[in-house]
Amino acid sequence: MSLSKELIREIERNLMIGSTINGMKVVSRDKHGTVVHLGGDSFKILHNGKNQNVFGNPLIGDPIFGYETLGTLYVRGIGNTISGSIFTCPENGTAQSVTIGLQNKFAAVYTGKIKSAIYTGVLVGSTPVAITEERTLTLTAYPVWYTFNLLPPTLVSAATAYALVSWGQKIDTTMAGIACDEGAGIDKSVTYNGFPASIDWATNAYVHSIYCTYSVPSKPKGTIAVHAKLAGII
Amino acid sequence: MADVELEIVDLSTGQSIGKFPLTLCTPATYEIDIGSYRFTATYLKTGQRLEEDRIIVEGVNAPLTFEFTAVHTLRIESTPITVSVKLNGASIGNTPQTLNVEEGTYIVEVPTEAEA
Repeated sequence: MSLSKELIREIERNLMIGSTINGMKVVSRDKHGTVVHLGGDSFKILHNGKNQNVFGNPLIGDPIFGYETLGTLYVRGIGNTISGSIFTCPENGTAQSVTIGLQNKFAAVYTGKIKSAIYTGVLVGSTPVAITEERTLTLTAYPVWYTFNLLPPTLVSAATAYALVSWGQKIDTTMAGIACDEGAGIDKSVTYNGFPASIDWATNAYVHSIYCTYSVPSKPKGTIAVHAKLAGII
Repeated sequence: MADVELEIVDLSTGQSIGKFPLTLCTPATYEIDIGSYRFTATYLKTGQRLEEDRIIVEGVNAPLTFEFTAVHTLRIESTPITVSVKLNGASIGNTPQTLNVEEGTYIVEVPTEAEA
């Protein structure tokens, strides 16, 4: 969702907390900026006429790997189909959640169960690494980010490929869809249930809007006092 | 206003982790990840740069002191006319002159009234 500078200034200056404009709700305002809720788990921080930040539920600043763009070219149905893309994790860490760009696949509004998983990043004999919570969501006609917490958080390794996938129910003629762009993806048609113990993926030409948020242990720190002075002066 | 600019560079990556203002005779304490760093201090008044590499260990590290050469402002004016000036025997141009000089003894020569 793009915001014009004029609209950002209008929101910053004139809209009260709790008011809604263009489907966005103003949720807070302080000296750091105005936070608006776009729907789902998506927010923006507006400050001095600029769109400062976009984030999902994960803690701001935690590293991620995956495709962090809300795709605009395609919507791939995930009703009874496990679908996602394979990405390489850049560093050792603990995967905390998977965030997915979701919307209705068809015109009818989807309300149903969706969950996500991390599988090993191989096409044949791919096995689950971690599985997320299951959420019941009502989706909209445009994609917004939804975050699924991993249960439990799971170690991920540097330079290792992982398949980040989403999966939902198919209810009558409604289905959840995942936003995609051109790229590389994987899928497997499976009736919604427990995640399979092993999957041989089919490949497709869509990079899926899905990313994993992970945490890395903070390094130990040291303190040092630095003193500047002129010669001969204490 | 800062007297000194301190830059800290992570030697393992070559990346600067920041530039920080320092005031003379006012120590500042920094908390940084353990590792090897180059501390470069620039005395803004003169441009004098001093640097030191340090390995930062967990906890409190030994303090780091940068000692710059003290400078003073030497102003040379003449009235009623402009005259040429020598400093320690070397011509430095006509009055008025403003010079940053280290602490010490200097010989300032100007023409006598007859020479001027």
